[in-house]
Formats: sequence, C-alpha cells, structure tokens
Amino acid sequence: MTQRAFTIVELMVAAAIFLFIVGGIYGIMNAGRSLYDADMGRLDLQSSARRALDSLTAELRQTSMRNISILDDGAEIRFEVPANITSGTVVYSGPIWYYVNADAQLVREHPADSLKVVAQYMDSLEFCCWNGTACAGNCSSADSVIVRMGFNRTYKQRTYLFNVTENVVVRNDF
Amino acid sequence: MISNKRGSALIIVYMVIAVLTILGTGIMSRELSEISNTRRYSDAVRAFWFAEAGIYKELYELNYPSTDVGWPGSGEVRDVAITNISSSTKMINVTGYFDNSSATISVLAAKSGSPFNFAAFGNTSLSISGQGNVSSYNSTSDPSGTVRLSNGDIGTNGDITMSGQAFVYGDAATGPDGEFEDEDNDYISGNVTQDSDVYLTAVTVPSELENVTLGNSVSASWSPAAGNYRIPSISLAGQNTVTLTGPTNLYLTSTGTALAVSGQAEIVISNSSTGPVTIYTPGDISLAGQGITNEAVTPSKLLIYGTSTDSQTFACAGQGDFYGAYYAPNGDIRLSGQGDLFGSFIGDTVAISGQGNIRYDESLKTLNTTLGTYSIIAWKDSRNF
Repeated sequence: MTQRAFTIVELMVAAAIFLFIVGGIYGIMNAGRSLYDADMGRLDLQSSARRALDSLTAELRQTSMRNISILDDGAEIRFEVPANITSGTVVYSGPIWYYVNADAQLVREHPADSLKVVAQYMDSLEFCCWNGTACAGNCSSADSVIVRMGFNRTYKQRTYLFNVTENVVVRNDF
Repeated sequence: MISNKRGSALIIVYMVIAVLTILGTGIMSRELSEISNTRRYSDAVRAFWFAEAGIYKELYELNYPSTDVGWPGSGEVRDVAITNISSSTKMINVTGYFDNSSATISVLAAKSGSPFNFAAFGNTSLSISGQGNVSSYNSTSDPSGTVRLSNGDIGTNGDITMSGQAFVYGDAATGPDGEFEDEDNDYISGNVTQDSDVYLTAVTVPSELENVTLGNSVSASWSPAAGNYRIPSISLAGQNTVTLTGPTNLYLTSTGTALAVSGQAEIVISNSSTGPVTIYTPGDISLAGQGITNEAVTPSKLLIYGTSTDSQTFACAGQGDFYGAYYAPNGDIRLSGQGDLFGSFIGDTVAISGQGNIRYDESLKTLNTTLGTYSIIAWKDSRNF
C-alpha cells in the first residue's frame, strides 16, 4: 500500500501542539523550580540561622552571669565557660568572643586570634542581659541573656530576611 | 497497516518521563539529605535533653536516697557515673544517647544550705499539746524577737496532731499520706498541705573532731577556751557551770546520757564567742533547771547535732528561755519547759507540750552547712552533633 507523507500543514500543526505542550510543561516546571529555589533559599537561611543560634547558645548557657561582658553596645559578647571541673574546682576556658566581622560573618574567637566562622549572611547581632524588665548594664545583676540574630541573604535575585531570638538561662549561675 | 506507520509520541513520552525522573531523583536526593540532617540534629537534641534529665534525676536521688524517680521514655540509654570529690561534693557524669547521637553533661554537686527550715519538723510525727504559740522572728534584724512573724512553719513526713490551745503562725505540712488532726480547732495562720517529702541527711562528725584525744567526762564547773573537744559526757547538777566560748566544737561520745543539766546548774554560751558552739553527740540530752543560757540570745550560736543512727532524745524541760538549734534525724524531741524556745527543732519525732512559745529564727535558714541538700555548683556539657 502506498503511504502518503505528512503535509506541511499537518507537520506545522503537530509541531505547534508539541511546542504548546512542551511550553506548558516548561512553564509549570519553571514555576515549580522558582518556588523550589525560593523555599530552598529560605530554608537554607533559616537552617543556617538556627544552627548559628544553637551553636552560640549551647556554649553561652554553660557560663555564669558573672562571667559575661557585653561590648560594643550589645553587638559583641565575651564570656568564659568551665573547661575542667574534674578536680572539684572550676578551671575556666578563658574568654570566648562572638561578633560579626566586616564580611557579615558570625565569628567565634577562642583562644585569642583563633577564629571560626559560625554563620554567614549576618545582618545584625544583639545581646542583652535581661533582668526581667529591661536590659541590665551589669550582667551580674541580670537573670538571663537575650540573643537576637538577623540574617539577610540574596539568592538567585531574591532577598531573604530571617530573625531569631532566644532567651538563654545560663547553667552555671549557682 | 499500523506496522508500517512511524510516530514520535512514544519517544516524546519517554523523553518527558526521563526528564521528570532525573528531576525527581535530584529533588528526592536533596530531600533525603535534608531529612537525614534534620534527623541527626533532632537526635542530638534529644540525647542532650536525656542527659540533662539524667542529671536532675541523679541529683534528686542523691537528696532523696529512698526515692527512685524512674525513667520515662524508651529507646534511650544513659551512662551515669558519680564520683566523690570530697565528703560534701560529688561529680555527676551523665551521657544521653539517642540513635547515633550522644551528649555528655558533667556537674559538680555540693551539699549546702541549712537543715533548719522549720520551727519544728518530725520525720515520723509531730504533736503539739501545750499552750504555747509557734511563730517566727529574725534574730539578725530583730535580736530580741519583738516582732512576731508568721513563718513558724511546722511539718512532718507523717501525721500532725494538735490539741490544747496552741496557735501556729505559719504553715503546717504533713506527709502525702499523713493526717492533720486538729482536735480543739487550734489555729494555723498559714496553709495546711499534704505534700511534705523532706529527707533528713545523716550527721557525720567532722574527722578533725573524731581525731581529738578523748578527755574525761565533765561533772563540775569547766570553762575551756575556744577549740575542739572530745569527751564522753557532761552531767551537771547543783550549782556547777560549764562556760563554752565559740567557736568551739564539742563531741560528746556517750551513746547514753551525753548531756544533762539539772537544778541550779547551767551551761553558758559566752557572749564573747566569735563563732558558734557546735555540739555533736549520738547520746541523749536532758535540759532542766537553768538548762543552757545563750548569752548572745542568738540561736545560731548554739548548734546541736544528733549523730545516732538508732535513736536518741532531746528533752528540754527548763524554766528559762532556750536559744539554739537542734538537728537529729533519729532524735525524739520533747519540749515541755516553761520558757520560750528560740531556734529550730528537727528530729524524727517532735512532741511540744510545754507552756513556752516556739520562736523559729528565720536567720537559721541562711546558715550554710553540709547538712543541706546537694545542689549544682558547676556545669559542663558537650554535644556530639
């Protein structure tokens, strides 16, 4: 049996339908990818923020209110934690310093000049020795330390902001 | 014929499926990684809280040795190590596990605080049948006790029986299964609760006192200088006087009558004391007549600790006022005198039948001794993220 080839019109219609379908799929996938990227950007930032906060507070909670100094109008904190208690007396670690550097990184410095980047995209960092009603000038007379972190990240042309706050009750304030 | 037809639909479908599969695999791989990270973090946090819960469980059981608070939850494993640092300090190490995560917390726990937190407390029972009131004052701010305060708490892990005309300016606490019997509608100004669970820590004689050379019993007038003394007993009658000047630690070793005062005899706690007179004894104490005169009228200047692991008595039936604090986990306390009693009385049983008032000295609550409870003095933790 003799077969006839497709006419140009048939091919064009088929190509148009194919392009329409592929375009639709691409549109849907692109929208999905955009949403995915947005969620990933937000999730990455939030995850990073929480890890940074957790890392800082896990260490901070081991200090005592007597061993905390808040510097630079609340933007930096220095404290000591027990390094060794096995002898029955507390041997302290020496100062541990948290601050934000010029590259918007949260930095932990301990011992002096030994730096570790704890988090990126830091927009703000604030510490406050809380006495129940206000920030106390002297941490020794306060009950807890409030830590506020602000993050700002631009990812794939989107800007994400995230703030976390924790009120840390220190464990060595006996 | 169909077999001779060529088409592209199947190929397109395969391509779309392939693309979607690649995309889906990528997304799934990332999600699985996220889930794994989140789970690891979650496990680490749980391990840490298990360790912290373990610390407080061990601490509670140190303070209440007869109590097993149990361990709710399942799947977790705890490693616990308790090391004696000194007679009053322990190190507690607890490692909490959850799946492959672990966290270790080490704390130093030291005994501190005061055992004198009640006007009167009897581990087994407490009864009041006299006419005297129970109230409080603070010898630091009001040495003569002019102001009557309402923190003259009484308590027991068992039952409280009240009769007579006594008034209690404070709270009354019985044990969880205890009863509060108030036969004559006596007065409790504060709350009556049924939740007392106080553990009376055993008293240990300080080693430096144990090692003092044993002297002779005293039955005549005696005025030793401040210092440490170990003698079997003091028994005074007639007009003999023993004058003790603090700081003095006196260990009366007799398990019979270790301290007895009667007639016109008396024991004087000198006003020139610069520290407390602390008496340790496993024996009985009987104070009648003049009893003990505390010239400073400050209860914290006379502390009497009962060390018996069996039983001992503290009987105060004198005419004069008594200023001091008595603590004996196995002591039967009998207060039947006419004078007022300023201080605190903690024992196994307490029976108050005298006419005098009980005045709890609130400043005793801030006394720092090794008979208090273990509390954390240093904390160190590590997490394995």
